[in-house]
Amino acid sequence: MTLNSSDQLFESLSAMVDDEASELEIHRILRSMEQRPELMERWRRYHMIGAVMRGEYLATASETEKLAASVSGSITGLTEETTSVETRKDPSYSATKISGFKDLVSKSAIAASFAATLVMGFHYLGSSKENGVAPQIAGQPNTPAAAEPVAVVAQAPIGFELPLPEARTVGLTTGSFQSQANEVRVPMPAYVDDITDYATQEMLNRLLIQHAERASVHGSLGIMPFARVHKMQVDHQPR
Amino acid sequence: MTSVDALLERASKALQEQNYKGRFTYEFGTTLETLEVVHIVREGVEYERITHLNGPEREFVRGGRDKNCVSTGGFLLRGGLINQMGGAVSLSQSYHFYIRGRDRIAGRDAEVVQAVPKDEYRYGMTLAVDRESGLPLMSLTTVSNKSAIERFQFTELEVGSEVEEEDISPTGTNHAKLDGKNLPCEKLPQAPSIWRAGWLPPGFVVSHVNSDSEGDVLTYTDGIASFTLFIKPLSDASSFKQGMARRGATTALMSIVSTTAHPLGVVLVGEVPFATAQQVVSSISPAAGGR
Repeated sequence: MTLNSSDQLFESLSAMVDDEASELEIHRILRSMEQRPELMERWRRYHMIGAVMRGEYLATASETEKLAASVSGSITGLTEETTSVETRKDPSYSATKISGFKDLVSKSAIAASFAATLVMGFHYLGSSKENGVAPQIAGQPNTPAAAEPVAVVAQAPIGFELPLPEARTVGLTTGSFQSQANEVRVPMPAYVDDITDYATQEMLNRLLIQHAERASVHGSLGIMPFARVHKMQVDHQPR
Repeated sequence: MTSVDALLERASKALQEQNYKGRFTYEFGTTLETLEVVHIVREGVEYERITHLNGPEREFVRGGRDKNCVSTGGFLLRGGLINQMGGAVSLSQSYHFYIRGRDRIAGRDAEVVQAVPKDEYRYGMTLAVDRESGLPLMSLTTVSNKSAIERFQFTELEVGSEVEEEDISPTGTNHAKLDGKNLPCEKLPQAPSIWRAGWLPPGFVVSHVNSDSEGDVLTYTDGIASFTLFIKPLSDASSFKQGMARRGATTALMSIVSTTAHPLGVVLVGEVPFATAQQVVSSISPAAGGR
């Protein structure tokens, strides 16, 4: 029994999820995704299942499409750069070895790049302005406040083993997603200052002020939460 | 040695009862903003003004809140217990507290206390409390117990000095006057809510409920962190923008939730991790006896 082209693509897709796809397969899938939205949907489902199994966060279809496009764009540059670096370093290197090494590096890098781009996509928040997001993602588990085991912290003797927070403020990764019945999809991760839609910006500003008003009486900072309000309409009179 | 309970209670009271005037910085990511704050108490009533000194002109002037008014968050911060769903909620259920010794901020000696969250649903916080006045001089919101995602820090502070009328008057045209009399002054809100969050992070209680042009507005707090839900039935769901945004420790999650005949446009704004916001928003449903 022979597989038709769709079956082959799905098999390749499955292999890609398992990090077992060849570079050729990855290229073919990425090319096919442009014409066949069902592939993107299937990839999303496969990845979603994997993410849930690992307790990670889920992306939306629109995010994944953008990511795939960015990865497609990066593949050409990555391959070219790998070739030129190898050739420059050791011109006498045999063509076979260059090719083999390139394949290995290229395949791993593409897979890593794809995975990393997905992670960056999930954690896009504030990446344009909050430095440190990418290193934090690369170096830390994908959990927010629980990036360090709380149980260990809880057991630390008072005054010992619990590091004081670093003084430098850093960017923020989002948290792990816990599987639940009513999943909330958020197709538009953004930095507040980067929202260009005027109506949304205005609405958020109004709500930020209202929230700051409440936070200022329910927290430990007095009126200081109003510092978080970025913009304000001259004629706005919050109640 | 000062106890954590005493420090937090003192800080909560000092913020409401002391006269103070100072400048502080608000920092997140690579952004640094400078602000001025004035707070006075006259005949038992609080008046305050906060002015952004850089960026777009912004100023908030608020007056009218009784200085003895204790909100839900204030009550928790002062060591209070609140009954909810048949159980008692307290600040110590949500955080481990550690005294971190002393520091010097804005030329003043401070006692440093660190709040480490007991779960992943909230951020940590480190607070430096002025040894003389009890006012918080610095606050770091932390993630992973190590990295600060947001910091407030005084650079200069005068406590107990004479404050003139002009110190609490608007300084520019771009200001908002807020009525402190509208702020809640009881342990738990009296107004019934139409909607409810079916899931809340442990230790959070509802602290403020009202309805306005933004829909039904519910605020929740654990005594340190808080978030506000804005819930409105949508006649045209396609016009509601879904997404999320972040600034410093503040998360804003905009989502459509379908629990009734009309979909709901829900916006959560608050200083909680995104995963927490997502879980809360997904659990919105009509309260018993609601719509």
